[in-house]
Amino acid sequence: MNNDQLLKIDHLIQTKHYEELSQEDKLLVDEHLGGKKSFEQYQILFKETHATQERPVSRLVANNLSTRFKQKNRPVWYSLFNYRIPAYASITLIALIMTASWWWTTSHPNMIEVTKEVYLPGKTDTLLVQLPPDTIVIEKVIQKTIPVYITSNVPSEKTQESTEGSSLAEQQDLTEFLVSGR
Amino acid sequence: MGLFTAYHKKTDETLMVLIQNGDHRAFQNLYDRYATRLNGFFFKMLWSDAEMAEDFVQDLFTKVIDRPELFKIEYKVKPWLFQIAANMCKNAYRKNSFERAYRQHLESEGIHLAHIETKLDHSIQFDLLSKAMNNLEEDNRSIFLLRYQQEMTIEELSETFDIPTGTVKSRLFNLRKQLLTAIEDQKITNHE
Repeated sequence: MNNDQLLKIDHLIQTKHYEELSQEDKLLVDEHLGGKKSFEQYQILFKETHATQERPVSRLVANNLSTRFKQKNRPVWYSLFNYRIPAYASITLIALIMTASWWWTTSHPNMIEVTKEVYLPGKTDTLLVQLPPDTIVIEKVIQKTIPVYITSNVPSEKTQESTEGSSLAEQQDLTEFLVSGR
Repeated sequence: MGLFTAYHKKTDETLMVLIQNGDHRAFQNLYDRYATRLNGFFFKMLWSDAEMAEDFVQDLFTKVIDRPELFKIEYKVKPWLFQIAANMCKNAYRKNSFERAYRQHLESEGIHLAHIETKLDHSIQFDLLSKAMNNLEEDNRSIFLLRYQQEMTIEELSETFDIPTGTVKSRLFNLRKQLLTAIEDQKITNHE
């Protein structure tokens, strides 16, 4: 019997009754299996074998395997926090991470310095000065760049104060200059 | 909507790759596809011992969980699983023959362990097919069951046992004949 004949006979045994076989197939079966009786015996043999193809497995096995699979494939962070690091260290680490994340997410004032020319109307102060006779008065113009601070979320009150401070100083200088006459 | 993956539509090989990546549902699906069939195979291979068969199913899938990297992408899952199953049975036969030899030794020494004998004897179903099959060699029993119980193709059998397809066919032919003769002989003995 060659290989193809074996497969064909297998197929016939599994799918047909002896009476349903064609003349050609009957000849093949008779030649190699020895007739109807053997054919039917093989049918019973195959049927009995095939009947045991599946057997239900208890739910316990499935549950055990499922648990095992989940345990084995836990994320790294899970096993790290639960098995590899002591509890107090885990808690400290979590606290540190929370503090750091709070620090990074909270907005902080960001101060930058930008030089910018701004138009300011002229400011005139009147001073009463007693001068000796024949005093020559020289007009002195003082120009000063006023720094402007731009901050993201803090009101720039300081700038105003410093401007005022500068102005007073200038006035004092001017008074001194005028009084001394030098 | 790609929210849910249709696992039941995936091939065994794709499921195995997902299992290697730790996909729990892929494992569940592969288990559902093969657990009952493997249990049927183990049951017939291991002297119709239901408890032992279930233990072996659990052991086999535990191997899959613990060492999924043993599966290579070029393998087919079905022959691979049944190859592992057949090897496990081989080990069980080896262990069993050792136990039998040990029991015989004990008996020759006058020590009789009734519970071992009872367990072994009761685990065998005394239907004609099981009897005839129990007389086959372990490899032959595997080939016969995988072909006619698990409906594996000749090519899959060839892959499982690492033998040429021609050898598989000729062995199957001889096995069928051998089994049928054994069953006939048993019938005659029973009548007598």
